[in-house]
Amino acid sequence: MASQWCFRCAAMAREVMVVDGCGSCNEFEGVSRRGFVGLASAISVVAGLEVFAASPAAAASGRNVLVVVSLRGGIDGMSLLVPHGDPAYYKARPRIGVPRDQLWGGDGFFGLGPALKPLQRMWDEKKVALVTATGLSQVNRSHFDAMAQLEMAGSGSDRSGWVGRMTGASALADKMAGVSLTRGLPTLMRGSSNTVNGADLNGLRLSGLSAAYPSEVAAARRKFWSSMWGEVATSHPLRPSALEALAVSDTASSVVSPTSTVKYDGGSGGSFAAMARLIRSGVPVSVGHIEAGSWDTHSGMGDGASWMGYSFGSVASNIDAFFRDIGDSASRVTLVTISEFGRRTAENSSGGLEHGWGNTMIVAGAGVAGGRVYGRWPGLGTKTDVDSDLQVTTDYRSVFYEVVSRRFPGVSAREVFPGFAPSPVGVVTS
Amino acid sequence: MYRPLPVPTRFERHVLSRFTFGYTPELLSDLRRAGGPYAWFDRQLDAFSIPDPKGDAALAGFDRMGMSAPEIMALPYRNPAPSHQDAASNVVRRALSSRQVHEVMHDFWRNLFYVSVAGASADPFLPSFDAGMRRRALTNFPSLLRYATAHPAMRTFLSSYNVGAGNENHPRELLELHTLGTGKYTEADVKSVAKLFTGWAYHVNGRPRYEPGGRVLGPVRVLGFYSANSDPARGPQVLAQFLTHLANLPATRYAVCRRLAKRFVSERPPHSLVVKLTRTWARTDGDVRAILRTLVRSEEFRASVDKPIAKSPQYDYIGAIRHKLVSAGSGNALHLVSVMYWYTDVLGDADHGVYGWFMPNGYGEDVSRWATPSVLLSSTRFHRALLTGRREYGSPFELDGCVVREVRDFWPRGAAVVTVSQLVDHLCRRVWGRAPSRREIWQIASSAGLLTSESVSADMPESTFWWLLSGVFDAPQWLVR
Repeated sequence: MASQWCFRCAAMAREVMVVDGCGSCNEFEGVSRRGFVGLASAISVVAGLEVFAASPAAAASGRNVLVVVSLRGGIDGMSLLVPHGDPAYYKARPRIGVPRDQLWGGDGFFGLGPALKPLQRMWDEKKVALVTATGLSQVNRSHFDAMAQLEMAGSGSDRSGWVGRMTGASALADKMAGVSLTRGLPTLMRGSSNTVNGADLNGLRLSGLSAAYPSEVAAARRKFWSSMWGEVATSHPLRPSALEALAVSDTASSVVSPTSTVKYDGGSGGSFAAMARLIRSGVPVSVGHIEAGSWDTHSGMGDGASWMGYSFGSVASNIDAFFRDIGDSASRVTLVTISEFGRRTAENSSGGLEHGWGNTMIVAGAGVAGGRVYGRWPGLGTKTDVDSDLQVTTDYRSVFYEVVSRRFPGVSAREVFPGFAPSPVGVVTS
Repeated sequence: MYRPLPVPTRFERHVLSRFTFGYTPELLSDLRRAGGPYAWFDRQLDAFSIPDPKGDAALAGFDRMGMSAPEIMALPYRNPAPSHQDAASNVVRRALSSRQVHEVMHDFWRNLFYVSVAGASADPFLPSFDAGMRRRALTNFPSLLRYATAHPAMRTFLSSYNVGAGNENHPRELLELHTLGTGKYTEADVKSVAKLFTGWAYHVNGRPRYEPGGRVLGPVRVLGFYSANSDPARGPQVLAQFLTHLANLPATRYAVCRRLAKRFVSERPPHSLVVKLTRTWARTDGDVRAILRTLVRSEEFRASVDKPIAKSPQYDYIGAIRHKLVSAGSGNALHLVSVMYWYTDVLGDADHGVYGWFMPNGYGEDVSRWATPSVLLSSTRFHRALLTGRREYGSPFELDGCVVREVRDFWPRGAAVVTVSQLVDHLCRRVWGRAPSRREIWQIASSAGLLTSESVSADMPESTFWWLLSGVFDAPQWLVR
């Protein structure tokens, strides 16, 4: 496999294998993710909780939620939504094209790849839709630039992200209006004091406040923090953040909800499960963000069916599990996937795909007119050069613009996406 | 018997906390031995006359750091990657070096002329880039600008090899980030400068080469600079001339001096100070040491005493490492840095892992970039992990080849048994460089579940001791400089 940028641990490790991440981040992965799951059950067992915690935030539990799923690395949208009716598709991918007999759903032109099979229940219930040929309006094949552009979505020199702008709106104002279950505050969450991040919910706690320590340690540490920072001069540059930090830490600590019987698949499962817990516990989150997988598939995609079936199938099953897990809350939660670019139409000599342009977005849950494909198919080029990549006909912002304006009536989508004139997509109708 | 450590005066502490990666009692002895804050500062400016065995030892522990780019490229495997070693050696040197002003200034320039370790492309060139920037950190701006612009690390990072005049990436960053700033140049300027960047070819052996055949010729008139640009063989000289011209433009002077004033004086630096600095620049051709001497002796700097600047995660983490780490020995401290990354990146702000931020604008110099709840929460967790050698949920981390301070190394000298009150007093004097109030002593003692009047010895439960010290690092007094 080609050497890759490790999306999990940013700069420290970069010579990594696709999907697995690098050595050092795997080590930490084990620590945080498994630690988190284990701890979550420990809390439930100890407290014997079998009902939703009556958190102070529960009053806000009726608010709508958008969950953004970042598929970093540039996922191949054409293995998810396969344009089998375009003659160029199989010609360009003799080895890795998804065989026609493995497709399902769709129509005479498109078919859904086996990787999406776990979403069949939601597809049949018209709860999930696909948008084709989406992405940045200008082609950008750099992971970093493309991600930054995607997440800033037209911000100026302030480098704020669109979710940051969204959660800065007074209608959503709350300390945890935006929660990214990731390492590092992603660009899309920047520019607001209402967004927080942590690889898991324990990451949002003051040291000493987790279940790893006895309760008297937690109480002493909490008291220390609030008195020390409460009494410091109001001119101290970190005082506001420190006092917010305690509120965030307390809110994160109040996230106690019943252990779920819903099973998640490995990999991204921990993040989906944590997001579900967050929503069920009544934390007033409006936008959640998680990262699932890494998709820089320059080589070794196998025969298409198997590779994507395996790897994305896991994410698809976690999306399905997530919606089952949140139960009644599903009526207020909309989930959208996004990736910085799609991949080249023609396969390369290593059975993989180079960086391309147009991609597929998955839109699922509340307000979605599902069971069908949206967007305009521009037709594939026939050459192997970059210009025969799938062209973008729907700016990804049009999809999010629709979500924001339909699902969050108190927020000005115009301010979230400054200077952008959306075109109607139709995927979110209520 | 308990004897309190001496603490610096307000101005001594001000100079030490602004121009180092964090106060230590050794710094105070150095300062007083040198004859006071100004004498210490001037001595620090003569960095290479200060012996730096610990800083040198830090570098020696990283085998990739002594290699040239062709040597790195010839390695069958790059693991451990030069970029990891580069980041790690920078952390260790910043923590342990006796040339603190030099290290701070290296960080300052390295963040202005930013090359990320992300993306791997610049990887083989990072050791030489850091070494070169270190050598020049206290020289003059034109020389720094010429060096950084021409260096293969920067050229690879900003993809300015084998480019035609249509590639505007590096030219734009040169004008926007490295010199003039946004709004001080036009699109036409970018296009003209792009011509001056043509002709460099990247060779697989890691040595950049200028190929006259690739030069885009024709007159270039930009920002008051003119060149006929008619001789393809003279391309490198023409670019160097332009850079010298650009380095001394008033807008460049103002932008760079303002950035210095922001780092060392105030988030919103007084215009009067920036103007003073640009005057020194004009008189000395951008002599870094002369500009810093003007800054540290200015009334504006003196007026910024007790107007604290929030510590960035790097200042916080490296400052804490200064207290825990005794030496990096001949081993390597990669693990320490991974742990630091783990906390900045996993739980905090990825921008602040050393050179982890992937964009050419460097990590944020503005407090708004790091004053977030997540960053503070991860800071508390980092402090605990660093002090105890154990992440909250994880296994202990091995600091290969490192010598770290244990409980007894933090203990007050010559006092086997002290009261908790005395112990907290000692730790605060040692870490904050100031004596805590009775209230602060009580707050920190309570955070570890102790009464101030209790007697304790170095045999006290370790975990309790580390909670005490965590409190000292988690406090508002530590998180500013």
